[in-house]
Amino acid sequence: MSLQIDALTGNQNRVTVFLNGSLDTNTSPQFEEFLKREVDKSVKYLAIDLKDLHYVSSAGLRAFALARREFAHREGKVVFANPSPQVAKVFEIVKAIPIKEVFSSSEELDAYLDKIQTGVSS
Amino acid sequence: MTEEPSWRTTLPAQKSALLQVKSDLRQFLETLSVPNELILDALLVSEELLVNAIQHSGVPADGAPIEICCRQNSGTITLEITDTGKEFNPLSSIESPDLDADDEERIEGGFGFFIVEQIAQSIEYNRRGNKNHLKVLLPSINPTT
Repeated sequence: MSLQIDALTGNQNRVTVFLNGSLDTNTSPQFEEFLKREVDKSVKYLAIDLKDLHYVSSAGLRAFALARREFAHREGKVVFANPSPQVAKVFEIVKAIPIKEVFSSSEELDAYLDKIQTGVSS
Repeated sequence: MTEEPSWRTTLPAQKSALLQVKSDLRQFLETLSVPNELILDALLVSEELLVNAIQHSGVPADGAPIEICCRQNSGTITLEITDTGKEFNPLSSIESPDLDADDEERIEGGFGFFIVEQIAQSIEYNRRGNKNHLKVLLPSINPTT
């Protein structure tokens, strides 16, 4: 299975990335390269929409950890929305992402980022 | 006795070969009308075990191929992986990862086999002659769940 990546640049240093397909041993380099090339260094908040990501392996989790480290260095944040059942299952098994950084809808995620970007403590 | 449906292939010890193997395995399981969740489990377990074999067996990409076999029996899936690399028993050689690890540690990896252990119903390792042989049984999944 392949991986398609689309990005939507929002306001206030925020980018939403939509992953479609499979994030695995073969496709995670494509995702890592996309973040390096297509997401400006000034962006502090990365939202990853997982609705159409049907499959993630440990290689995909590593790519997420790399993104989280990069955005932590920028004093920003990576948050996730709409995990598909397989992705939610793998996240749960390895406790990959703190539960408060995974949202069940895009609206919840946007509200969370709006809150932290306007400096209101969450 | 009816014969269990089975699928078998070999691949060179290189990660680029995984794409075709996973695609073929998915096709085999889809023709058997296996529930999608179980197909995804089988693909994940296969990927993690094959990556381990590629990384740990020490077999060069142009060396003896790795073999993978999948069988279906009464709703359960059995996966078997055989490589001719140096002896490597993941059950005793791979430590469980720290689930409190930060991203720096997670980048180092080590979670693949743990995921397999959490998904599998049973895992057996045998050294047969000069081959590592892993047999993994996946629990059946009710299609309605």
